[in-house]
Amino acid sequence: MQEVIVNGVKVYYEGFLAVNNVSFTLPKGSYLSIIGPSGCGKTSLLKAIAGLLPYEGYILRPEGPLGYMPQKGVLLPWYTLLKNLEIPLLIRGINEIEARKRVLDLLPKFGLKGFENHFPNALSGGMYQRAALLRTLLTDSELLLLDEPFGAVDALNRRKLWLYLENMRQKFNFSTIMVTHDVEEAVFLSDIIVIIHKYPGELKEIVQIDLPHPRTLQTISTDEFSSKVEYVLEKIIEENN
Amino acid sequence: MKSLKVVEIVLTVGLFTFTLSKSTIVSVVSFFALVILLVRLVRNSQILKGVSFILFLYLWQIISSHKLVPSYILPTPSKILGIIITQSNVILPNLFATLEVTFIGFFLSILFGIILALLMHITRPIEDLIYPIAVITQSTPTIAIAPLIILWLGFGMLPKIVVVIWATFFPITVNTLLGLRTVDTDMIDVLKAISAKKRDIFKYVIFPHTLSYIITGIEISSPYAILGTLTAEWMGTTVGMGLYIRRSFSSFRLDQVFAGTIIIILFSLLMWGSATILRQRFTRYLGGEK
Repeated sequence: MQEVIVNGVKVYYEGFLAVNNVSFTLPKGSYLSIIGPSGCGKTSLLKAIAGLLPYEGYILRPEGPLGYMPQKGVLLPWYTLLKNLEIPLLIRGINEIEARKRVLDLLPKFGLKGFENHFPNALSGGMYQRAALLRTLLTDSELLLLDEPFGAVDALNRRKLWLYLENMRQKFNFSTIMVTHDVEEAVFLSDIIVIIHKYPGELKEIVQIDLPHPRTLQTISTDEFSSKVEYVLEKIIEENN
Repeated sequence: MKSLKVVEIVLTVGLFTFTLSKSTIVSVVSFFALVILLVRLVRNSQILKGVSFILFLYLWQIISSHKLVPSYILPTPSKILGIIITQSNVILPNLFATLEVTFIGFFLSILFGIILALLMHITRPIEDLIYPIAVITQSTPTIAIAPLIILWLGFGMLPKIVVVIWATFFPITVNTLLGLRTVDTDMIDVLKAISAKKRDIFKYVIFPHTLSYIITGIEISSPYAILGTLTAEWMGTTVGMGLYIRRSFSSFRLDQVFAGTIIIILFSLLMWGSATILRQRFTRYLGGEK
């Protein structure tokens, strides 16, 4: 069953064509990465899928709330971490006591225990992104839309977060579309990689990543993994010349 | 090291005694020597800022007590303090009247300023129509417009309130508008994606963001509120500090003029100080503090 269908989509951003005629499908429960150089319209495409930008063409997306995580995470600086995480629950009408309980239960798993009363500006870069990711998961959405979720996280924490996300996918059956320019990250996490051209964004190639789940740190050292990374890299570099 | 401290203290006390001298020259010279010594002794800039006001008052006291300037032109600070105490039965009713107008006027000005900004935020044409007029009101001197407003609206409270609004709404409007314009659209997008209602977006994002801008506007305007009242009272009223100062002026009671002015300065500072504390309280999150 298809969770998302994108067919011949064009997105205009501030009057300019940012994405031109992109099509792909995302089966339920899979993880799709959109990869391409900076300025190729990846973010515009993601926003169009989220229904936040007008577009031409056809997009099928699940009904109900969508977990959208913008590039910088953007927690609300005037609320504590706890309140920030409660907001997606409160907006959906879950009462405060229950929302608080759910958030407090999840904090340790994200390494945020003890920081619930901190304001976002007091968190480290890694913690901030983890919190933003947790807030996205707390939307209980079937579909997560992540815009470079680990861009601001250091290499060590980034891998931890890959593993965490991979783990969460085994527990909760959500589908994901992630925008990234980190090829290793895309290969590690994805079932499908959509490579986008420079500007305006056009579809270059769709690559299936059929490495077995659950993926672990060992996956990264396998030959299959490296050859996939190389293949995707080649496609991107080829396009830049 | 320790003996040096003792020497400095003895020197300070000695110089202070000399400032009390009957001879004008000895008194003034020892005052400036005392200032130089204090600057050397007190290295803490916060303390020095506090000391500066006291020194200023003390120099004033020396100058007027030695009759360097005739006391009917420059009364001594101690005499002014005396006036404030002995005339409190006259000053207090006037002060209450002034504060009443100031607070009501400033409160309405905040409301008016915010509403105007909201209107201007709705669509561009409304902004284009209102903004130039708002700027014109700010380029009109309060002292020129106050008599007109009193002429139109009479001697009651209303014209004074209008003058206060006139003198203070603009920074509040401009800051509120800036706040509304600088909301991070990514924050709104996150909430839109989970189909949040407009009300929720306002409550969680737009309002908290704009609030700190509104408070900054209030902080900028706050010293002008009481000055607006004073200007209106100067032009025509039956009660208020403006009237008290003007009457004192007409009868050459400069001690009373100073007394009234100092009280006004104190309350102006008090309003500004409270607004500053309010702003710091509401923007503490920017530093990540609890």
